[in-house]
Amino acid sequence: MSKLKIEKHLDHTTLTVKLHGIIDEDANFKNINETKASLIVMDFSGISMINSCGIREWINFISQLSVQSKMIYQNCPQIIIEQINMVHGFFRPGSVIESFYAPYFCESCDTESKILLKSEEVKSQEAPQVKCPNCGASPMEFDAIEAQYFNFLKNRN
Amino acid sequence: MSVVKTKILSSNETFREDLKKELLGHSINLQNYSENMSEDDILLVDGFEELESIKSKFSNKVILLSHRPSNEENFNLIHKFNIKHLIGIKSNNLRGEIISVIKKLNGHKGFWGIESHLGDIKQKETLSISESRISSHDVSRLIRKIDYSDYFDSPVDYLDLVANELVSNALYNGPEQKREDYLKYPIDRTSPVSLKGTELVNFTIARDDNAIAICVQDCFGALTSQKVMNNLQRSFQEKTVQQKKGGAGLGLYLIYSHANQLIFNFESGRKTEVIFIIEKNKRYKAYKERITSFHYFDKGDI
Repeated sequence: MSKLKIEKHLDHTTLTVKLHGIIDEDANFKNINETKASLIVMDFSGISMINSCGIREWINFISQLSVQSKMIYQNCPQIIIEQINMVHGFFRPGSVIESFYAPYFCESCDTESKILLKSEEVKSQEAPQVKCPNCGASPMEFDAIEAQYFNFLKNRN
Repeated sequence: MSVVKTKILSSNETFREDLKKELLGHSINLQNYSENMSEDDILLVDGFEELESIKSKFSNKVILLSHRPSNEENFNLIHKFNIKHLIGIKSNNLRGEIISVIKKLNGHKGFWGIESHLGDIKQKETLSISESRISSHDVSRLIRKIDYSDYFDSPVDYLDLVANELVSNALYNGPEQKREDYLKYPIDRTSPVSLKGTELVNFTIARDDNAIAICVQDCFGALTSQKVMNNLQRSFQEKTVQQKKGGAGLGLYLIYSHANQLIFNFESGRKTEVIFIIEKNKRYKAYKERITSFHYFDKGDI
């Protein structure tokens, strides 16, 4: 039984798809019927795990989409960004990664936070400065290797 | 306990002399490298440049300390030189790892089990698995029993993934050579599988003061060094999935990429054990900066 829940909403030619749970060998993307959509917005914020077979299911799904349809990756958690950086084919050519979570660390309150960033906020692979959502201290320290974490932005459109 | 003789090849004299003193306290006699090494000697080599400088035939007992930051580059060099033991130098407990590997190679430490690679265990949970249907939920529940307060925010994400990949590999691929109906392998991962009779896959998660480790042990002994190296070589080269029946061929690559230490213990046709270690780090960045240590121990070599 699939551990992936898919919610979809079609508004004119924009299909918004929210994914929740685990993408694994049982994930079934076939019922995302995109024939009327020229734009697909995939919201990954509810994904808690994706395994190697799930990556294959995802790659097979996006490779079968109509070449005319454009895709936006939205609210990508860290585990999705890591797959985009590590696995060829996970990112659909011509798509846009609109927003994603990135790890920051606050020295003041000793807390790690996942901060939602817009891709356009990252210039020259440098993390933008952000305030701590916990104690308000600013700036937090970006808690990953910038060149590695922002690698996916190198080829942005 | 007899003294373990080991040679070191390092141009860093301070490191060499400090390590000699420290290892002596653990009954390890560390001497400088010389040309007349025997095949049984353990050789600790500090850096790939040093390894390239020696012409001798490498034994199974070469331990390489790598300073190179890229897992891909390290793996390619492991493959080129047929190295079975690589230690990434950015370890929180570099000396502890060196001592542990030397002792294990010399038979002064247990071969099997998570205990050989951890210190005093503070928490430990185990589960025996015989069916794919029930494995993922129960394993996930066990992973959440461990205290992660000294760690960055997301070790559970990686432990969930690694446990899922290792348990699936053991359940779906492990039995192949022991089955009369081996032609039906590889089995589609969407089909449920059950092991037979007393066959089990054992999952363990444990924590000491320095690290969290998971261990997946099967009773099949199918994962040879050649299979591991071929799989990782293809994955590092192509960085994508395989369109074939069975697994996607990318699981070991993901596991390697998320490990601080990755250990394979192998006894042909009898048992395979994979141990995945995340060292204690409050910072995700420090976790990612750690060069993955890789060890392949074959019972036949020890």
